[in-house]
Amino acid sequence: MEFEIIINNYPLKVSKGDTILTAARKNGIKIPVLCNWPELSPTGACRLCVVEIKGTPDLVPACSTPVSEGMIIQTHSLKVIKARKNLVSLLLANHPEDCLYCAQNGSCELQDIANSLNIRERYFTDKYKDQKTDRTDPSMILDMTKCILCGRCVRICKEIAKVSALEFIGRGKNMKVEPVFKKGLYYSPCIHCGKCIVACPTAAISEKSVLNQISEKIDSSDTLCSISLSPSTIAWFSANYNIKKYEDTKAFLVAALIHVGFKTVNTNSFGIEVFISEETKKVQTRLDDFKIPYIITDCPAAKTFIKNHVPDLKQFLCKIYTPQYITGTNIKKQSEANTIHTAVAPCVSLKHAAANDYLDSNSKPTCDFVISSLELDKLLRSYGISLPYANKEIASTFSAYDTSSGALFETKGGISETILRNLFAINNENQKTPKKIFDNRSDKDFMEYEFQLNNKTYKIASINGTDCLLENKEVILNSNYLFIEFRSCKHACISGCGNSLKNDFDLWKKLKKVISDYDDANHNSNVSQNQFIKGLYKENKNEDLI
Amino acid sequence: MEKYLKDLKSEIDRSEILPILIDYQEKFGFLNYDFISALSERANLPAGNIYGIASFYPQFNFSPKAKYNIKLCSGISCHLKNIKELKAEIFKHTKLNSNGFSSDGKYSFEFVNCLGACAQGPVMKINDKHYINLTKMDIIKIFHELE
Amino acid sequence: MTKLKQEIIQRLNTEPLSDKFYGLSKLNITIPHIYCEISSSSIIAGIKDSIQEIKKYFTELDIEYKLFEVSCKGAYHYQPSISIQMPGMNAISFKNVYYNEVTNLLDSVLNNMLPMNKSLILAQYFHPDLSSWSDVPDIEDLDFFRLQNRKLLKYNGIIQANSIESYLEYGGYRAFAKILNKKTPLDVCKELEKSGLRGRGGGGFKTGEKWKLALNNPSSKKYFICNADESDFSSKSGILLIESNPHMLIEGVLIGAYAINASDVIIYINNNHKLAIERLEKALEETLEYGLCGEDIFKSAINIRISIHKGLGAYVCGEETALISSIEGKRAIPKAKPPYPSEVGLFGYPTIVNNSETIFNSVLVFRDGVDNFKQSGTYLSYGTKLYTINGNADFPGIIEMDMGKTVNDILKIVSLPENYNSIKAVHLGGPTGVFIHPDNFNNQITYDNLSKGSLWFGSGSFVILNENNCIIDITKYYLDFLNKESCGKCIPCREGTQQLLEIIKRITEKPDSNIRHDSLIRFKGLLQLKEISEVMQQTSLCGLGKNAPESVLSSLEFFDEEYEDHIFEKNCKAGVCTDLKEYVIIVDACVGCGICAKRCPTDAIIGCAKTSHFIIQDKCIKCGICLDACKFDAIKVN
Repeated sequence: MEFEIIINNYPLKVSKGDTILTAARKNGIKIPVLCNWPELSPTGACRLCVVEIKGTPDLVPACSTPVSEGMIIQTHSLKVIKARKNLVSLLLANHPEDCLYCAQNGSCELQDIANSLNIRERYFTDKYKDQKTDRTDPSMILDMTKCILCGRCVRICKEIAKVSALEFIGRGKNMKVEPVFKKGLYYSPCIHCGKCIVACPTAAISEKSVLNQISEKIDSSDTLCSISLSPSTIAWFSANYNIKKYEDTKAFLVAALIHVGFKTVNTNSFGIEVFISEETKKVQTRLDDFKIPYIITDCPAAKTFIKNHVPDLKQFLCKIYTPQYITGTNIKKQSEANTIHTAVAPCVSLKHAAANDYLDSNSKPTCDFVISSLELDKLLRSYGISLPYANKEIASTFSAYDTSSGALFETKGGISETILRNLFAINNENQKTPKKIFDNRSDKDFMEYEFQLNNKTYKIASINGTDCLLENKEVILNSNYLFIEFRSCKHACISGCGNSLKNDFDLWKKLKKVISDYDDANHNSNVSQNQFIKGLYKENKNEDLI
Repeated sequence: MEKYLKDLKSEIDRSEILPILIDYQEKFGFLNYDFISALSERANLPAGNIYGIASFYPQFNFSPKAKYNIKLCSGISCHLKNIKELKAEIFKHTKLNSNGFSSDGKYSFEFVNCLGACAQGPVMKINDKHYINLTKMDIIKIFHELE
Repeated sequence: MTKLKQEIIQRLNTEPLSDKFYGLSKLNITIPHIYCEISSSSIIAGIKDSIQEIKKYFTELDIEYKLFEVSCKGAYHYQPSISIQMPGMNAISFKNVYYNEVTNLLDSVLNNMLPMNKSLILAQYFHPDLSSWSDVPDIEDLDFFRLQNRKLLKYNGIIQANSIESYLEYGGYRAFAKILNKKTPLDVCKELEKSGLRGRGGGGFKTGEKWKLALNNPSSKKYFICNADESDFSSKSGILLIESNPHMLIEGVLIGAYAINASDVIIYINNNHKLAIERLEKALEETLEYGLCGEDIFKSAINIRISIHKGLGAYVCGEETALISSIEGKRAIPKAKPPYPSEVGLFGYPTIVNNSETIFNSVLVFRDGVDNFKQSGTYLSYGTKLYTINGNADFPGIIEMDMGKTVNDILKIVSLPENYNSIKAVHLGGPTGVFIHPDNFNNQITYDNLSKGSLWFGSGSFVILNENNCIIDITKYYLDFLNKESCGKCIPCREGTQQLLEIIKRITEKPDSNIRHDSLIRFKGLLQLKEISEVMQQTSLCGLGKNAPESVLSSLEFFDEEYEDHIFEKNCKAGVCTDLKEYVIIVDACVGCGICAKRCPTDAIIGCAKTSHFIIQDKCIKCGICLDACKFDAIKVN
């Protein structure tokens, strides 16, 4: 049902059930928010979205008030602006003034809003919050002095991630966000999915940065530096620097990184493709008997989630290492002993895994450093490099024969798609390979696909999001899927917190497009076409590569 | 604690948590983290949720109180009768630190909202005993007796 | 069991209410009856010790007697209070009967004589057929009771709280029985609407309308919640009502549940109110036994289950949605409205939340009739209101007044005329209430605080302030309370109360000598107070935040000279804001006797014997002990 309301003196058509905020957004009117988050129900905590409605004495929050017929709304009247200004000033009263040194400088929502409201002085003064920075975790830092208690992280952790590692503690002026029992994030049930980093409007929750250490290692003559780029990182650079072709970006990046000082530059596509081959082998053995569920995931957060939060499913989880680990071990195996390997990854979970799980037999890390796409961008900029770069180079040995499967793998449904491709190739049914199996359903978190192989019908499923896994636990246990793909994020690896610090649907779409364009144009789209990996298998007499 | 847990139901509804926490604190004097973890398993909730609920109420404490727990009423009637001086007197006699515990661990001190005897203020409560119409001299006497 | 129920039904339908009652004075008693007023405050005042003493007295003398626990009259200054009826005599009430007075008192009264200590005598309950005590006033002639309109408190001091029989004797459960037999839920809602009863908790929403909303909701399951949290500690009226008459609350919730077709009633009560919980639990047991609640009440096929939910006080639980969250086992944090609880409430079902005093009043409406109820109070504010009198009152306690009475009317009851002139202000309505200047003492107290010149009662807390109290200090006290009680969810309330408190603190504390233009900065704070208050009122999520700046605003409006005094003169006339002062030892005058150092509670004075001493300002708490102690006038106040 549609009716008319008046916003800022303009009559607008809105549909029933919309809140004032969504109605305004649909019509291009921007109302500032700090606590509102697209995936969560409105709470009305920040009060910044207040608007004036004719006939009501108090201001009304736009995020939780539904529109009704004949409403006359002012979203930016003087009264409203004044209230917003005071609210932000109140928030800033105890907010640290170290914006210049802050991890979120430039992308901070609080900074943005304060700027757009033209706040030019500290109007109210109060003591800073007396809270220690939580550095227990190797991948994330909680600096709660910067917390504005919008509650996004708490709600995301509880409602979407279903982990509840963070919780509101205390009340009134003593309220804060903390991991349970004051023990630090490392000892909490956190799975390091990084959703809270994306949601946090300030730098209260941020990634731990290792850029300075990397620069030192590059400069040192004692070490050889190696780096591997995640395909989604390459896509990220494509999208952000407007380079059309994935291969071009890859070549630019390789050249740039060699100039920075890295001795070898690979892509993580290698590890991914080994992962695919290994898992295809596993799936092949299940073709005759697939009564027991089998969950395939490359995501460390997803693995931790199942291990710690859904122990019933633990026994069905794939045993394989993550692609980063595979790339790392193989590079280190074939390089000199003083090699320092850096992996570029789209997500904080890999950072955590590298510090805790990625240890070789001598308890030495296989990936010495893990950095995010955003950090790599910073690193390049600190060397004065911007894309497109003047030169192009071919990647080092491990990645010289990359197929597009590696890139496709990191998108939603990618695990299933690439494994099926390989599976059909192994079974010599190349012509019948299903293509773009989930494309028309990609807005769903739970996706099923049915296909025929060797005249037999199989079903697979793709589960995106930890909440989706919990919802469909019974389905997994009771139906016979050939395998189940599972990742902790709803939009797969390309939406990781290493790629963007906002819920940036447009960016994700762009990344998806870069990757699928690359896949469509590429002849080498199947893992079995990777000559290098084929060679490796031959060398190892078809033994497992990990 | 184990015995207490044994007597509890094996499955706890979310709405029963607060009463259970109150009951536990009344019996044991404080809430410990182990109990909250155990309770969270029974209630099928993350421990963080229960900790969040408990920490919402300043009446809950997560460490035991001293042998003599002094509660000084700070209700409006008592506030108007200048309890500041009484507080200073109490601090002097018990050698309390700013965290509310005395250095010998014998006394702990807290302000409470109202003890409910507004005509007989100022009121103080040590463990379960009320002291009404307090003066400085009373406090000297009380702590002399406790010593 | 069934026989008992039949008997009850008959009693409820036939037994007429007695027109005239004579309080505790009863005919046909043969042995002394002792009535002890027990309430949570009288227990602290020492009634239990007195009872023990009474029991000891009678067992030693081996005299037959009967001891009853009755509810409290609501007069704190009379506690501990007992009443005695000797055979053939009027019942007589005594006040301040501490345990050491008991023996002397009983010695005289048992011999039908008045005690030597005349200050113990309060009043007698006059009965035409009994002989009266000479020179003892009738209780109805005492100003404290005569000037009130005691409707809810009518049986206080008389009714036995822990006995359903006692409640039935005074007309209990008749209203519910009448409703169950003759009225549909819609009738009940309509009748309540007609009575004009409005929520006593704060919002002032019309109770009848609210019930009707819930009744019209087709949901199969509904909840009726009684909020007896009473987390505003300066108001104790609700708890006194429950402690003295738990059955009336139960009757009220039964009526409410019937009116909205709810099968579940939850009474949310603060765990600190032990006596109230104990009595409610007992009362609930009795009602179950008598078949007044539970399954199939009086074969009407109506099921109403009542449960008591113990919570811990949180001021924010005055907000319905926060209370509901608390019962659901979540942090007590208010939710955005809409949806309102009458649509989506507890566990997602339609829910009505009513304050306990509202529920007590609803019983009055149906027991005495709409017209009777409407006789007290004024237009749009009908009925009576309980006030908790605190502060510098000569007669602190809980009193019941018609709506629309003025501050002066209340002061007449609780204050002696000679102290009348020293009253500087009254703070009405608890932490979110307002200061009232003597100029406005003749304004009516009603719901409609919008209409000019009338005051709003808030929680009913009534604090009398005199020359020895500092308005700014009280404002600080309430802000501190609100700051601690704010749930912390929304910015205006969490940061606003904090900022208001900081500014007020800055005004009441010693000026920072490091900051130049200190007075100017403190004055700027005053302007900020208004701005913050405005944004809090406009944008806060719930009533707590919206009303939190009321104290600040009213103090700014009526007592601006006190602010000026604090800011520019750095002086607190009442002498409360001691932090403004600085105690210094005059070097030439000090002989070094060391007495001040010995007396100092915080060891802030140091110095060697026979040399001039020195005060460490950071440690000094400005108690003034040293000033009194010094025999040489060597300490001065800056």
